[in-house]
Amino acid sequence: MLSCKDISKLASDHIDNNLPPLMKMKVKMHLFMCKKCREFVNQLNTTVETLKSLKIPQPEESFVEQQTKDLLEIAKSFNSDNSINKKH
Amino acid sequence: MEYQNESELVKQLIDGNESAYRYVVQAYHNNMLYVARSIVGSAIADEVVQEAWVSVIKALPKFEGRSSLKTWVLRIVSNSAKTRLRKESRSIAVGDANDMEALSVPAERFQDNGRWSAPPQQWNISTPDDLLSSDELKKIIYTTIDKLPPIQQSIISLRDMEGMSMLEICKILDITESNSRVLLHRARAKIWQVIEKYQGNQNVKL
Repeated sequence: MLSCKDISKLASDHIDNNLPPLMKMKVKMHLFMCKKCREFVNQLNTTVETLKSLKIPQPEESFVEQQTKDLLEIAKSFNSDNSINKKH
Repeated sequence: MEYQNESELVKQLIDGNESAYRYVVQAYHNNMLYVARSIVGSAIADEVVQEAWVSVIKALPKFEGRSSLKTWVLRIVSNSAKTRLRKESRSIAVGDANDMEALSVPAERFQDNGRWSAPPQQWNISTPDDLLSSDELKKIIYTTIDKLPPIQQSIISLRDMEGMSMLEICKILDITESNSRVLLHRARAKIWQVIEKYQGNQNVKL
């Protein structure tokens, strides 16, 4: 029998449908009988769904500004190298 | 600005189009930083990302579209980071991946027999939409992700926020699938805990 503590470790694999068949069945059995673990798995699932709707944070605008400028410089230097190579 | 297709974005990057560069900096830079931190640690991650950008720009004409541009870029970051480690003859900073037995949910929430002693309480705010309508909670989640160990930060952002496959993530971070799954779970459990705490605080306010 799996304990609640076991379920707490397996919950992500259960949500992601990543458990081997026998283990999957054991987890389902436990969840069928244990309201507390059902609540936990539901909440973890809600957590994952919430993360899916979030975008990863973007860098600060001042950083984006400077970095874009720097990268353009690099791109230009490569482009002029390429055009020199093409001429020869 | 969103791009209709990646070949258009790549073309504009090769042409040196400013808004294309702005777009990739906004959309890719933090992921690049997370991946670099996971492999070389925070101290030299910025440098590694800058080196990787140079490699990316140089290699753009050779991009064949066999993976998404972002995946391709992150592989370049990963390679730059690993090259850097080799140069300094250091081994990969696997972070807390060694400590695989640690629990994701704090042990004190369970009794000795493995049953809950402090079980999760029902959430009043129970849908992702309702949770995300709170700017305060969004901020808390972002801060928590920011404080996670770098490798967990990479995995949870690439997997749950960016929808990348676990296989791809393992390749980029050079870790095994079982390790990555444990780390993903631990990161998720951490976010679950802060949402739980937030819900509790809301109850106190009511």
